[in-house]
Amino acid sequence: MATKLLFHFDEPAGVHPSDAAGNLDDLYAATGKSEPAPVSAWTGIGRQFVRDSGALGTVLLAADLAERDTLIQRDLTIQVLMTVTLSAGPDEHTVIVRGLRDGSLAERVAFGLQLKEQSGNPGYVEVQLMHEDSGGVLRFLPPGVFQHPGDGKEFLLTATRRWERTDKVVVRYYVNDEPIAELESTHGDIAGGTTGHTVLGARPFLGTWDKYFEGVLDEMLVLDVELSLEEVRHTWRRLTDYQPGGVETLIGLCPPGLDWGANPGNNEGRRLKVLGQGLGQAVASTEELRELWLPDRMPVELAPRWERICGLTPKPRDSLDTRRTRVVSFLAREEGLDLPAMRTAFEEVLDADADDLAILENTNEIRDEFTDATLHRRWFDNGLGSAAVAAGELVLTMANGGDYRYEVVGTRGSLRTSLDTGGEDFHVRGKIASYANLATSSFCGLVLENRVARHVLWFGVYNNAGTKQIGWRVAVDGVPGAWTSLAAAPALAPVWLRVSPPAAASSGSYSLAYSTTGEHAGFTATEVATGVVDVEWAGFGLYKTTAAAVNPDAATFDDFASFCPGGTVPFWWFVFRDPLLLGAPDLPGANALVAKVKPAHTAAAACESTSVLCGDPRYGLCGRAPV
Amino acid sequence: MAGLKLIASSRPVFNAGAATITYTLPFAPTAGDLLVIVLVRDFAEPAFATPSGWTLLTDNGSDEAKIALLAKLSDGSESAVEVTLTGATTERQGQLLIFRAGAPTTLVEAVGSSGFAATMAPDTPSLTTEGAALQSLQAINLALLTMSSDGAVTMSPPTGFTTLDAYSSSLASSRSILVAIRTVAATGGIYYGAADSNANATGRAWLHVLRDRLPIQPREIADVVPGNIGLIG
Repeated sequence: MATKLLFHFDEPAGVHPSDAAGNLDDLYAATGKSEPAPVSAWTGIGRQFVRDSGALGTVLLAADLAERDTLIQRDLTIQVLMTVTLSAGPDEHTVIVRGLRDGSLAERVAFGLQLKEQSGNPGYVEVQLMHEDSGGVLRFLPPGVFQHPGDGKEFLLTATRRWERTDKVVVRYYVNDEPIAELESTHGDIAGGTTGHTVLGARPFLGTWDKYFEGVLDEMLVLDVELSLEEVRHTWRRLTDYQPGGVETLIGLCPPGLDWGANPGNNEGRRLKVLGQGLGQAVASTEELRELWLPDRMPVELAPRWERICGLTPKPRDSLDTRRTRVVSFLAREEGLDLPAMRTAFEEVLDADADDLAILENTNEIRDEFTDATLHRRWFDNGLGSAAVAAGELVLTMANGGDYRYEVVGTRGSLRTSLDTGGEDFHVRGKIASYANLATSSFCGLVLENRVARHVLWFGVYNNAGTKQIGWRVAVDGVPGAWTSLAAAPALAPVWLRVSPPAAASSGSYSLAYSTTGEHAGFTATEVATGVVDVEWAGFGLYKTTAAAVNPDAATFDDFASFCPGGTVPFWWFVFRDPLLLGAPDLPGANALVAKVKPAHTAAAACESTSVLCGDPRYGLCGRAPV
Repeated sequence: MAGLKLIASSRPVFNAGAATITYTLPFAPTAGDLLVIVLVRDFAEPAFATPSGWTLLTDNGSDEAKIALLAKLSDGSESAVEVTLTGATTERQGQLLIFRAGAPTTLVEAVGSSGFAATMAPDTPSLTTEGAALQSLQAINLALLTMSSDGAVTMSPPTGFTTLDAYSSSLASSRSILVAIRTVAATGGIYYGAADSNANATGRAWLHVLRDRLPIQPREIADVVPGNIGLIG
């Protein structure tokens, strides 16, 4: 950060104002104009500018001590302690202009600031930055508006400009410590003369002096960076809290009986004020360090240090907000997966408030007792029957008149969810709650599938020529096998089913257990070699082995659970942005940020859908969204 | 930062038989968000019941159509909102908007409307929607443009506006609507300019200037004895 201009205006009458930053020559009245007179102001002395009342107006003018010393064509902050006199008339009040705009390239306007009482709304003040483009066109950036505090009432005005592209400039305005506007402009072509002059109090464009300022300029600061909201607020607190607080502290510490602070206007009172303000400023510096050193509020000059510490490289035109976010999210990664910090980190790139973003995490254990009135969207209905929740149970139904033979892959009338086994063991259990309407040649029960290899394992109850049996059946590589009965099934359900790994590891072998007693007791287990490997889906199914259209079949199910101890989904997480939110999210950018901030042992993605998105070009034709 | 922020919007469902139009929240609002309903209907059938808890902000129009804006500060628990129309025999359309910031009592700063006639000249379809300028006090205000037309017309917004929704429906009668928004980005006179259409039609356009608050008034920085440390470079 560089201070380009700093005017204290504390010179007494007869002494020309000067730039404390040392970039400007002393300021003189422009030819034919008068110098604003020193007057009492909040900091001690300010300069009283008046409008041209015929022959004279007040204008201060100076040239750079060295070429380009005050040339600012990109980021900018102008901060002024000032009053403005609206009763002087409706014309604009020019506070500062860098460049005479006399038609020469050397005097192009790099920046300017003006105030104006709003036309049609007396008492409302517009504050507006301006500059000239390379074609010599004067560009006014969108204004901020505030209510006039009153003629002669001093306030702090801050205007910032952030250049992002040749067609994008962001301006912010603050009065005292309150932001009043943040707006974008397409006028990113900012010219600026190499030998431009700086003018205070009017503008001399194209040889005509006009738009005179009337009011008091107490102090003015011009920086070549965009100050943040936090920095503006801290300056305000320094001026209004800490420094007066230092004086009060000193008065409070005066020995009893001494009335040094009784009269702030006498010599003792003024000395006390000098000391107290110095004390307050020291406190303010300490508080500024405490408030602004951490990266969430860091000023721009601290950003490179934090980025060096974190090993981050900013892009050339990253805003301070973006750089803060990047560092904070990087540190959040170092500290673990801190969800609020993560949401905050994605605010800007996903163009949404942190509260509107969700961090989705997976579990390797799925339980569904079908207590919700609607099916959870984790379930995929193959649409060849109907699936619904009724009375806290899942109901699968075959419509009357349809052909409900099992398919080579899949099952007629099935509901399934994915299993993330990680190539390791898995456990699946479920309950057949009722199968009173299970007709001859119909099956109901658990279904496990590898749809790519066309492997299916059915485990449940089959009406075998009028006899209901508990048993299993497979299709391997698409070739159906024979039904294997394990036991006679009760005439009425329920039957509890479990599929677990066998006692000794064996690919394609499972322990199939059933109970007609209860969820936790009475199980009979049988280890079978099925040939069904790499199971990816599990659920409930209902099908027939005959082709004829039959009466409707229905079965109800409950208490599904799957557990994949070797699954990797717990290490997947997703930043989810609801697609119904308005705005312009940058998903590729968000995924780049994900890659940067995610803990190394996790896999993550940013997404706008909670469904599988295989084949979505936004994700490189891969499924990166939650399952 | 100062200003209204539009979070989400959604299209309502009109039930011609029951004479109701139901607005479903597109996104779960946070308590304190401002919910705004846009309801467009035929001028001849203006009556409707303001839902409990909602404030009617404006209701105006002319022969072509009539628009109502209703608002409510969210308590974070809203679900669907039903507006009941009386004697509805023509089409109802609208939009539900969720803003962050703003208040029903100060939301609408200005409203203007004008009728338009769309002509379908070859290659140059246009709607003449230019209305009188509205005064916008703040550049951060939002301009909400709503256009409504008889018939199944596809309309496009003027330059600078972002379309939130544009659709035609004919559950009771054929009507089209376009809802678009932009940041005003300037103070003073705001025009909504000419839009495009793909067919001959007549209709009405409204522009609402929406704000989050009145401009603030800074308090004076003053001291009985001048002489304070000011700005530091």
